[in-house]
Amino acid sequence: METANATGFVTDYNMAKPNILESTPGFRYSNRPTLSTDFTPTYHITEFTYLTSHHIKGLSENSKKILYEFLYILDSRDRDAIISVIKEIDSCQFVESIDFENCHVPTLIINLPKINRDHEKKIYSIEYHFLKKTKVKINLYINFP
Amino acid sequence: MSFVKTEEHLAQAEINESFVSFIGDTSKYIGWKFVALHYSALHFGDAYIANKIGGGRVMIRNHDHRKELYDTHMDEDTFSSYERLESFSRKARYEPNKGHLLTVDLFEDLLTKDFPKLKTLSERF
Repeated sequence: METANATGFVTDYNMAKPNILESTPGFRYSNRPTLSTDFTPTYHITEFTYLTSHHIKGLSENSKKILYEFLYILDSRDRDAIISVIKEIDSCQFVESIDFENCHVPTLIINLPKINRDHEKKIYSIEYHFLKKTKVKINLYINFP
Repeated sequence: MSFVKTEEHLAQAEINESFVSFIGDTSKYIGWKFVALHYSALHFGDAYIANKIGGGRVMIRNHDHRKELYDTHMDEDTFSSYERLESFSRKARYEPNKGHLLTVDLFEDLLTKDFPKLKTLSERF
């Protein structure tokens, strides 16, 4: 239950387990938290394991958490597009690891072991098709050691 | 911000390309060669967009807008070559700790394989 204090800010609400439609794997939430302070990603991540830990092996734990927080505010179609692009990148044998940062601009950092034109162009080719699927802005950044 | 004509973009693309030669082979300034090459490619790309969708002029707001237009109106190979040029230009400008990546061999690779994809767009007018 949400209640507002004298300043009009919501100070409390019922953090009940969200409704997940089983037919839509893990995506539709009927109750979304309204305050970032009420948001407990670790709780929700357990509902989204199929999105991250099972399928995106190259993504670090911290990145998964940040990615989840970002995905949470999106529509399911955009989430699907983002997850599929990350999985596609993750499936490239030459990709060392993937990080996700959301410092003003959500950025997918693809760590490659060395400069290789074909490998880089493969990533940009994935980006090319990704941009056609969604208007959500995510920078793809290729990082080298 | 204003509308820029196709020929104005092409002129700027050629100035930037000639600046690459002007810098020469001094390794101290090799980063600027990556930057100039990218900005030459960018203007060739913008000229193409101006001609293709703007009737000879275009106003591109920022890099995100440009990426959207390039993604929509360029083929996949040209788009990914542009992204590669942009990526190393960005490293040259903002990441001094990545200077070791900016080698003569990499520059030649971008110049001979990626840059021509953008430069030859004007042949499709």
